[in-house]
Amino acid sequence: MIIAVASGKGGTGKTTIAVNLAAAAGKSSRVNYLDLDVETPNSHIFLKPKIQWQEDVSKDLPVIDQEKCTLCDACAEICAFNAMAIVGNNVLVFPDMCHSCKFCGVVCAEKAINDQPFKIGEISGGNVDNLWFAQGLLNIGESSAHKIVQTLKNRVMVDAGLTIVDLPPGTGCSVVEGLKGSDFCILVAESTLFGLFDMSMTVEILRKLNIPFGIVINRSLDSGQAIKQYAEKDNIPILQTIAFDRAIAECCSCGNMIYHELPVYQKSFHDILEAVEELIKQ
Amino acid sequence: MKEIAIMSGKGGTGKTSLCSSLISIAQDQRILLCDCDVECPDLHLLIESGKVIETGCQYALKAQIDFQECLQCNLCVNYCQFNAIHDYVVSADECEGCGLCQYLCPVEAVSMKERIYGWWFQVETAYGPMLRARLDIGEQNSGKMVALLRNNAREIAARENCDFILNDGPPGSGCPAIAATSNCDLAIIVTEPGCSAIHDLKRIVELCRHFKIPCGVVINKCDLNEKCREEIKQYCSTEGIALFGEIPFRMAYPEAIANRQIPSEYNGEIAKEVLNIWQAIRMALMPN
Repeated sequence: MIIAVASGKGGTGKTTIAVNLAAAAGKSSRVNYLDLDVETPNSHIFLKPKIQWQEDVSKDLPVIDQEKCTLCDACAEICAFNAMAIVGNNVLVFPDMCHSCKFCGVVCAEKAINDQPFKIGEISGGNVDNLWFAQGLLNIGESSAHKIVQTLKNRVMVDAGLTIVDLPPGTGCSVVEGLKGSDFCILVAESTLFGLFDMSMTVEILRKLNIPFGIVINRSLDSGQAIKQYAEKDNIPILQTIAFDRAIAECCSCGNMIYHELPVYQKSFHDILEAVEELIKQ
Repeated sequence: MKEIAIMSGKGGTGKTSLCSSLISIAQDQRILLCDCDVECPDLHLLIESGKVIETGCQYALKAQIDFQECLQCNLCVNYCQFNAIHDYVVSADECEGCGLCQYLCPVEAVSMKERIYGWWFQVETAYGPMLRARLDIGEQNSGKMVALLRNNAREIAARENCDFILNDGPPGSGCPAIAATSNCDLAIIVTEPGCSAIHDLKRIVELCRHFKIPCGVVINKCDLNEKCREEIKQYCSTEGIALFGEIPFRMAYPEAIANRQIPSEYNGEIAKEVLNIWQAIRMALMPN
C-alpha cells in the first residue's frame, strides 16, 4: 500500500505528518519511506537514517566530435529547446537547456554526436529501526527535478507492505510524477486562505489521476472551519484535525519527532493510518 | 530599475506575507509586482486587483499521431526518450515536444500541435501593476511560464518607469526557483529558526552563488527557537550574508491573512518591522 503525502502550499506540514506516520506505522510493521521532495528534502533531518547506499542520477548530453563535425547547423536547427548553437567554428551545447531527446544525434549526417552522461543529482537510502528509507537530491543549478523523482521511484518503489511518500509542494510535474501509482493521498492543509486555495488545486490533480484522498487539517486556528466547509461541500473525508500548538512548532524546529517527544499526539497518527486503511478498503 | 526576488527554499516561511507588506510599506516607490509562484499563486488573494489590462495564453508543442496514416512501424515508439507513445497514441503529459517522432515517421502521420498550458494576466492594483499566471495542473513548463512573466514584467516596468520589480518566488530550488531568481539584482531569502528551513536556506544561498546573485536573509518567526536563530545569524556572519531583519512570531499574521489583509496594514508592529527591512534592502541595493 502506497500512501502519498501532498499539500499544494509549502510549509503546511507534509514532512511532519509523513515522518510521524512512519513512526506510528513502524510500531507494528516494517515501513518503506520515500522523500520525493528532491529540491529541498527534509525528512532525513527527522528520521536520521544511516545512509548505506548512494547512486548518481545523470542525463545524457550530446558531445560533438569536432573532427567529424562539418558545422552544417542541422542539430542546432532542429533542437526544440535551443540547447545547441554554432559559434565560430564550434557547436556549443547548453546543458541546462538540453532535454536529452537525442534528436540531434539522429539528424547528424556525419555521426559526429555521441551521448555522455552528465550528473544532475543523486539518490540514496538506508535503514533506521523498522524503517527502510530512500531520498533524492537535485544538484544546485539543475532544473530537471522530475527526472530524479522518476529514477528514485523506478529504482526503489516496493509493493510489499506500507510505503509512505513525502511529496514536494506545488502542482507541477514532480508532484504528478510522485503521485502516480499511489493508493491514497493524504492532503495536509493549513486552515488559512492560502492553504485552502492551494489545496483546491491539488484536489484537481488527484481527481485527474483518480487517486482517493482525505485531508489532515494542520495548525488549525479556527478549528479548521474554512477547510471543513470546503470538504463537506465536495464530500472529502477529514482524517484528522491537529490544532495549532507552539509545542509542536518547537519540537519540529529542533528536528525532533512529535511521535516520540509529545506522546499525547501518538493517537492522532494511529487514527490517521486507521482511517486511511478503512477508506482504501471501501 | 532593480529586480528583487523573494525566495525561501522551504515553503510556508512567509514569502507572500513579506512581499505584500513590502509593497504596502514602499508606496513612495513605483513597484511592479510579479507573482512567480505559478503553481500555487497566492499574492492576488491579499492584493485586490482591479481591471485586467492584458492577458495571454502560453502554448507548448505536443506530438499527435494520425491513426489513419500510421503504419504501426514502432520507429517513434522506440526512439521517444520520454516514453510518451503507447499504442500509437501520444500522451501529451509525457511529450516534451522535441519533434523527433515527426522527423522519423516515414508516412508523415505525426504532426506537432499547440496545446495551451497556462495563462498570464497583467492587472492594475492599488499598489501599481501586477503580473500573475495560472499554470494548468501538472504541467512541465512552470519555469518557462515564470521566464515569460518576468520578460513581460521587464517590458512593462520600463514602459511605466517603475523603480523596482518585486518577484514573489516559488518554494524549492529547481526549475521555477531558478527562473524566478536568474539575473535579479538581489534575492531576499525568508527563513525561520528550524532545522528544515536552515537546511533549505543553505541550498538557496548556494543557488544564488551559482547564478551570481547577491542575497540577504530575513529571519521570520525569529523567536520560535533561540538556538536555531543563533545558528542562522552565525551562518550569515561566517558566510558574509547580509541580515536584512528579524520578525517575531505574531498571531497577527494568520489573522491578517484570514481577513484578506496585508499583514503590515493589519498590525502596526509588523509595519515598523517591515519598514526597517525595506530600508536595509534599499541600502543593500544602493550602497552609495
